[in-house]
Amino acid sequence: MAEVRLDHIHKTYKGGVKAVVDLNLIINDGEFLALLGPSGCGKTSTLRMIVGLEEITSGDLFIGNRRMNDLEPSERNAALAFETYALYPPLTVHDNIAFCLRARQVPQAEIRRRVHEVAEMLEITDILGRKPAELGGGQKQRISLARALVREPDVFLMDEPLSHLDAALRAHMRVELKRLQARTGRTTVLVTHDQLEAVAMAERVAVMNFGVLQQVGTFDEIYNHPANEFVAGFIGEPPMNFLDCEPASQNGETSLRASDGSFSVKLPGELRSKLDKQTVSKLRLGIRPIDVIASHQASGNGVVEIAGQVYTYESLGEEGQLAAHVGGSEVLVVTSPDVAFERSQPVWLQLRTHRIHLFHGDTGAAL
Amino acid sequence: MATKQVSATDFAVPEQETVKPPLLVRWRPFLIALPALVILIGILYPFVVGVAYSLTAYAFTRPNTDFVGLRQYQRMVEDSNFVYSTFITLAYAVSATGVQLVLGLIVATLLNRDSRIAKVLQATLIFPMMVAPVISTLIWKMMMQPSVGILNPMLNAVGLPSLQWAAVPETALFSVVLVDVWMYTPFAALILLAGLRSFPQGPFEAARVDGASFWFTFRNLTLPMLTPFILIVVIFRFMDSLKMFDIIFAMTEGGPGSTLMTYQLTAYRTSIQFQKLAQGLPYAIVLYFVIYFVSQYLVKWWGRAQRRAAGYS
Repeated sequence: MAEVRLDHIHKTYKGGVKAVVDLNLIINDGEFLALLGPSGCGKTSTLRMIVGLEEITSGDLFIGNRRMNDLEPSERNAALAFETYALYPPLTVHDNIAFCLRARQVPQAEIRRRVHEVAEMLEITDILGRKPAELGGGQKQRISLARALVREPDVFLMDEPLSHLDAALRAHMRVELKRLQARTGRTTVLVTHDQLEAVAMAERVAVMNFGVLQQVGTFDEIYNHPANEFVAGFIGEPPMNFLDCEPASQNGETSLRASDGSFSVKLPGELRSKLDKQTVSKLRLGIRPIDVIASHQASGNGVVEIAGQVYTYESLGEEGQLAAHVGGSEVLVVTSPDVAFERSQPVWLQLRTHRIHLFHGDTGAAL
Repeated sequence: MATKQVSATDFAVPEQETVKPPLLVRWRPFLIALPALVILIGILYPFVVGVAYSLTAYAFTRPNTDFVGLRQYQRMVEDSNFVYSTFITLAYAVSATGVQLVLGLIVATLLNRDSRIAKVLQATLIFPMMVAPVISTLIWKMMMQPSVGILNPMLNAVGLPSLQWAAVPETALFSVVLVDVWMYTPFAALILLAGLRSFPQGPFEAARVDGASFWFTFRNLTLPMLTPFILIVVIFRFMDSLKMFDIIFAMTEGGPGSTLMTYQLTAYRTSIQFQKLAQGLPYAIVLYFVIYFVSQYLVKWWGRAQRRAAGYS
């Protein structure tokens, strides 16, 4: 068991591709952390650097206060469950799991005990005599987990462990993995591009993009207080709407006006004071689809409503999804199932103003 | 409850008037198979004729085609040189194939990396295979020449005594096997390298993370996965060296004495040089059956090994 500390880690591949840029991250002892990001964001490179399959270009990696940069993968006591499982094809399931113990010359009796222990935990005792190619994806995945766990590693790393499973199995394994981690109490890093996986399993989420760590925190923190426009747009489904705005003055109070003049919005006090402290000319207004209320008619009760036109509408049973054109932008709205919309109909959108996020127009950073 | 009886006529397709297709269409299957048939005849005919002649006492000097049964085979088995001939045929095949396999494995393992020098060396590997075997053997023969050849001075330079090479029985087999090894180790290395390159990287990375040493990984992972490729090398090289002719003939014509009289050399000398066609044929035919059954067995083994390497039991 150990804390993992990444200190100004850089990874530049041959040919100059910068996979990871100045990554600073501490994964606490016993914590379950998810590295989340779109493909090519450097999350797998980070994982491979921790386990030792990829050289660290610069920076320091510590596992349990020991600098690991120059140590072989075998000396780090970090176990990796590969995305492709990477099982040993000619060996039986039992021998796959026992491989690392045999390589370390653990006594035969102990090998048997530990393999069976971990096989029971993952419910694969009945397939110990089989070969990998004869097994399904879920079983292979359990074997790769068993192989990583049997070593009793300090750090347990998982690279997209669920991405090759079907939906039902994935939901089941999410729960299993979470329980497993809670039971073993191991420091665990999960790499995934799927935010649902990250939310379901991890205590903290680290969001990466283009090799740069964007934000680390619990999912609630990241969801409710995204550090920048990328995080805000990447987290949450359907994704957040962004509208170009500029600050304006209305009766002496700071408000927002759309850059194309299609609407203006009064801001709640908290946001207004934030905005007053800064001098920005261009802003991006972020609002999640569930924080927009769409109706056929203006309510007329004094709330600011934005006029738009229905572009598409899909009814998904328990909710509807509406895309509306507001000026030159498109706004996604999650609607209640009671109201239906038709293409090209006029529609009035009311924003839950306390749920508005504001970002710098140029840098994308949150205000 | 009333059940409807189902009869065959319910499903019968209404009869259609059959139109005879044009001649070319009807003959097409045979025309497509024709080249294969021609080739088959080209292979089968000489074989059948060879077997037929082996049952006579035919010699070019006395063209007598009377049937004599298996007398030629009996003569072969009773020949005082038969056991030695069998031994030398197998010794040549086993040692040449074995050494090529081991050296090929070492070379392939060393070349299995992404460096520029590995790429250059890999390209030079095929050079020995681009020279006609007889030519390279003659060059080796010159190098082995005791008085002017270059090999003895090289041996002396590292403190080893001069050798008589293929001129004396003690080192004759070693000399021809050496040429065979020089000529065909690259073949083994290329096949094995192709095998190594075809492996997925994942399991080997997993082995590194699992803390397995090079040898442990090699024994438990690389070797089982490589077995199908090893068997391909064995199938090709073992079959080929069982019937090896050119190297031995160009080097010593089977000598000194009858030291290197393998089946193939004996068949050639008896049938062609001594012109006793029927007497030499049994060696060739027995060799054919040996190669046939050994290859059958090896190919079956190869199939099993392939399944096992892919992860089936």
